[in-house]
Amino acid sequence: MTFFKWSRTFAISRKEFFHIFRDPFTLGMAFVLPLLVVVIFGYAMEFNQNNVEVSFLDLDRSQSSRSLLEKMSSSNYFRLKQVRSPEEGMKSVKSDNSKAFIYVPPNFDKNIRSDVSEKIQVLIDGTDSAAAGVIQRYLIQITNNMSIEVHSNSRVSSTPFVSRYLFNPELNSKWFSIPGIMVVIMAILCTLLTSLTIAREWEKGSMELLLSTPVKPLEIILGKLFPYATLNIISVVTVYILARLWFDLPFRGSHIVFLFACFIFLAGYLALGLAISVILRQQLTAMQAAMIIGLLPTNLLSGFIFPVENMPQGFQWLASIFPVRWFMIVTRDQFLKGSSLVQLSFPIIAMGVASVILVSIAVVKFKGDLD
Amino acid sequence: MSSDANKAVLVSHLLVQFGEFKAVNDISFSVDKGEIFGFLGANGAGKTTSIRVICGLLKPTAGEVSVGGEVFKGNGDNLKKKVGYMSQKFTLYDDLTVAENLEFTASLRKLDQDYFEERKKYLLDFIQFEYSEKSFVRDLSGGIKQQVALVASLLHDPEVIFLDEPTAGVTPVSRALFWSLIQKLADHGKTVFVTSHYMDEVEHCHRIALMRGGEIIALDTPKGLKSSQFPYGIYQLTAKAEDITDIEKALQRSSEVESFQPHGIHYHLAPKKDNSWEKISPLILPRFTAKKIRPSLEDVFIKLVEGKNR
Amino acid sequence: MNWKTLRGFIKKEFRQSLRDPVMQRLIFLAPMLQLTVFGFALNNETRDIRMAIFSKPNDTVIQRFQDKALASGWFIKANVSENDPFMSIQSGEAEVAIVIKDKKVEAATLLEPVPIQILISAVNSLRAQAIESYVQAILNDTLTGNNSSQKLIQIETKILYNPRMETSYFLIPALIGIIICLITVLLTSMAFTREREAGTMETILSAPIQKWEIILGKAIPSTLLAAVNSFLTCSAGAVVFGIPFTGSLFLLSLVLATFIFTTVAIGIAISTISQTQQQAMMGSFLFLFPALLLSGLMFPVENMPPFMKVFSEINPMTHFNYIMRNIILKGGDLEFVLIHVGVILGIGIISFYLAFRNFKTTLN
Repeated sequence: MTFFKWSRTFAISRKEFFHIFRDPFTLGMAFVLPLLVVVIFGYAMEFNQNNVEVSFLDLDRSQSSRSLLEKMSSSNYFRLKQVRSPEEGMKSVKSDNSKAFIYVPPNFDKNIRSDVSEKIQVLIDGTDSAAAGVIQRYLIQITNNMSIEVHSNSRVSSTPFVSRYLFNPELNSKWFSIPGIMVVIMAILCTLLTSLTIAREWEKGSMELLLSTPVKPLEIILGKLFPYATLNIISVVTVYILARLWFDLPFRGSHIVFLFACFIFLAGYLALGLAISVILRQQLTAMQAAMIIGLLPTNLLSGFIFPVENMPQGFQWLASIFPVRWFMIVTRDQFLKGSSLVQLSFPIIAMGVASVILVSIAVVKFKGDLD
Repeated sequence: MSSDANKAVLVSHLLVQFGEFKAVNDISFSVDKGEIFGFLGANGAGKTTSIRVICGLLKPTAGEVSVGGEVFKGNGDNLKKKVGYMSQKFTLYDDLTVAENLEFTASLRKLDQDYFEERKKYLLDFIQFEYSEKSFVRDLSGGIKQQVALVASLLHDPEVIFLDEPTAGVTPVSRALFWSLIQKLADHGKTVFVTSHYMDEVEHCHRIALMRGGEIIALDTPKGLKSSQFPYGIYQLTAKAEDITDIEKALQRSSEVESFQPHGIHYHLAPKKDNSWEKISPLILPRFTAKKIRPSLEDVFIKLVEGKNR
Repeated sequence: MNWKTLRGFIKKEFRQSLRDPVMQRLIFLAPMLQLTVFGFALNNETRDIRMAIFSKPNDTVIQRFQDKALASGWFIKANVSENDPFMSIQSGEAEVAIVIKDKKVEAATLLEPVPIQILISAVNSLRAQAIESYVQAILNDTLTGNNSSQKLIQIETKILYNPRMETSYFLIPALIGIIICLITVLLTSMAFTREREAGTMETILSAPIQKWEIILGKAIPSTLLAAVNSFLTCSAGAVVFGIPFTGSLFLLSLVLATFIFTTVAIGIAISTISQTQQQAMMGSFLFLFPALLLSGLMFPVENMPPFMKVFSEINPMTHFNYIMRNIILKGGDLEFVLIHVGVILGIGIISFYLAFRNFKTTLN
C-alpha cells in the first residue's frame, strides 16, 4: 500500500508543463486571449446611457418649452431631433430611429405660468426595458428640477439631498466591468483548458497508461491541475497589471486575501473542467459542454452584468452553485472596496463549499471510473 | 500503343512535392489489368502519397498518371470514377449501421437504387457477410469492419481498387481471409493495388514495387526480386557458441559475402559469387550449423531498404 | 444535376446527429432549458436594494419615506450591525445608506436646512445609478407630500411595446439568437474536422464529388435542425414568457432563415480553416464569445467607442437582435428589417464564399 507522494504529483505536473509549453494553442489561450479580451471589452463596455436619440414635437414654441428642451439636450443624455407631426414621431420610434418621442402640447407656457399643471407626453420605446427605465428616470429628474425652479417648494429646498457614490465616485463603467471580465476570463480558461486537455488524454489512451502505474488518482488529478492553476494565476497577474497600469483601476484590498480567493476559485473551476472531461470522456462533447457552461452561466448568471439580486429567489440559489458568482463579489470588492477577510467570509466560504463539492464530484467520478 | 490499352494504371515521371520535401520523386511504372500489384516500403517511403495521387485525392506536382486510359484532370473526378479506394483506417462511420454506411457510399457515387441493392447483395455474399445489415459498425470486429470497408470501396464496380495497408491491425486469421478475397477479386479481372508492410502477405502479389525515400528501388515479381537480389541463395546460420563477434566482423568484411545479417536467433548470409560458399564455408562451419534456404521477401526488403542505409 | 449525393449526405448527417443521445439533448433539450432558465433568471429591474437609514429617532418624515420605499418593492431593510453608515456599506450589509445627522427632517426650515446624505455603493455602477434615482424619486415624493398639483410640469410617459417593462421582452429575442448560434456554429464547425480526424474524409473525397455537394450536404442538416430549434424556442418564448409576436410570421421566418444561413456559413468557414476538432472548437469560441458580448445584450451598442462599434456592426447577432425586437415587439418596420436582413445576408454570403474557396476536394 502506497500513500500520497508529492514527488509523483510533481512528475505528472512536469510532463503537463511540457505539453503546455509545446502547444502554441494552449499558450495563446492562456496569455493572449485574456489580454485581448480585457483591452477590447475594457473599451467597449460603457453602460452609461449617453446621447440617446430622442425625437420631439414642440407645438408651444414658447420660452418655457424651449428652456425645457434646452435642459434636456444640454444634459448630454439626449440628442434631440425635431419631427413635424405626431405620426412622424411614432414612426421614428417604430423604425428604431429614436428611443423616445416627446410631445409638448400647445398652451404649455401659458398654463404653467398661470399655475395650471401641464402634461408633457412622452412615448418611450420599451423593447429594451433597461434603456427605457433609464430614459424615464432622466426625464423625470429634468422635469422635476424645472418644476422646482418655476415654483419653488420650501420643503424641498430646506432639505437638500446630496448623493455620494462610494467606491466609484465617477461611476466609471470600466471600474465595474474590468474586474468582472477578469473573473469571466478565468472561469472560461479553467473549464475550457482542463476539460479539453484531460479529455484528450482519455481519448488518446494515455490516461489508462498513467492509471496502470502505481500513481494514485488524487496524485494524477493534482498533478494535472497544478500547471493549469499556475497558468491561470499568471493570466490573473497579467490582467491585474493591465487593469492597474492601463485602465488606472484602484486596488483597495489585500493582495493576499485576493490571491487566497483566487486559489479557492481555481480549485473549484478546475475541478469543474475535470468533472466535465471525466464524465463525458469524448473531446467533442466535453468541449461542447465546457463551451456551453463556460459561455452562458459564466456570463449571464455570475452577476457580471445582470445582478444576481435582481433574479427570482430560486434562480439566485441556482446562480449560487457556480463559484464564479461568489468570486465576482470578492474580486470587485478587492478592487474597489477593500474589505477584510472577515467581512468577505460569507462569499469566500460559499465559494469554498461550492469548490469542495465540485472537487469531490470530480474525484469520486474519477475513482468510480477506474473500477 | 496497343500494349498500353491493356494497362490498368500507367504512371510516368510522377513527382509530388510538399514544400521542399519530395514525397514521391520521379517514379514510373505500369500495372496490368487483373494484376495484384504490391507497394512495399517503410513508413514515409511515399506509398500512401503515390496511391492518393493515382486515386485523384492529391494533385501531382509533375508527371502523368492515367487509370484505365484517363489522365488526371481538374480535381481528379475522372480518375475517381474509375477507382475504388480503401484507406488504412477502414473509414466507416461507427455510429451508422452497415446498410447505412453502404447507402451513404452509394450516394457519394450517385448509384441508382436498384443497382446499389444488387451490388450490395452481391458483395455481401462475396465477403460471406453473416451479420445483420442493421448492425452498427462499432459492434463489428476489426476484421469484419475491414471487409465491409472493402465492400464500400467496390460498390461502384471500379476497374482498379486501391487498398492502403488494408490489413493493419487485424488478426492473422482475418488477414489470411482478406487476402483470399483479394485473390478472388483478381480472378474476376479486377486490378488490385495494395500497400503493406507485412512481408509474408505481399508474397501473394503478382508484382511488387519497393519504395524508399520517394523512389522505386526495385520492381519485379516476388520470385524475380528474390532471384535477382540473391542469385546464389541464402544460408541460414546458427551459432554453436555464444560469442561470435570476431567472425561476424570477418564475414561482414569478406569480399565473398554479399550480406550477413542477424535474423531472429539465426543469421542470414548471402554469398557474393557462384563459388563464394565453397570458399568461405571452411571458415563458417566450425562455428555455425548452416542450411541453404530460399530467400524470403523479408530478406529482400532488409537488403534493399535497410541495407542501403549503411 | 444529380441530387443523389446531396440526399445521401443529408440522410447520413441526420442519422448521426439524431441517434446520439448526447446530441439529442444538446440539440433539443439544452436550448429550451437555457431559454427558460435565463429568461426567468435575468432581470434588469433593480430590486432588493438593501437600505439602511441613519436618522434621529421618531422622525416622521423619514418614517414615511421608509414606508414608501419598502412598499415600492424596490427596497428591503438592511440588517445593520454597525453605527457607522460608511462601514455598513463597506461590509456589504447595506447598499444604500440615508444619513440625516443633526435634526429631524420635519424641523427643517429655509434658514436651517437639514441636509440628507445618500451614500450609495457604486461597485456596480449600473445599479448605483438606478438606486440613486429611486431614492431621489421617493424622497421627492415624500417631501412634497406627493401632492401632484405641486408639480407643475408632469410627465405622462407611456412605455410603448412593453408597457410593463418586462426584461424578458428584451432578453428572449436575444437568447433565441444565442441559442441558434450555439447550435449552428458549434455543430457545423465540427463538420469537416471530425471527418478529417476520423479519416472518413478520404472516403468522401475518393468519390467523384463536387465541392458544393459536400458543403451543402453539411450545411442543410444543420440548417434544418436550427430551424426546428428556432421554432421551438420561439414557441417557448410565446407560451412561457408571453412575448407578443406582433409582427408578420412570414417576416419573422425570413429573418430566422437568413440568420441561420449566416451562422451555418460561419460554422462551415471555421470548419474549412481548422485542421483539428480542437482548433474548430477554439475557432467557434473565438467567434461566439465576442459575438455574445458585443451583440447589445450585455451592454448597449450605441455607447461603444467608434472602433468597437465596427465589431458590433459586423456581428450578425447585433443585427439579429435589432430586427427580432423590431418584428416581435413593434410589428416590424419593413425598411428597417430589410436593411438589417441585408447586412446579415451579406455576412453570410462572404462567409460562404470563404468556406467555398478554402475547401479543397483534394488532400493537398
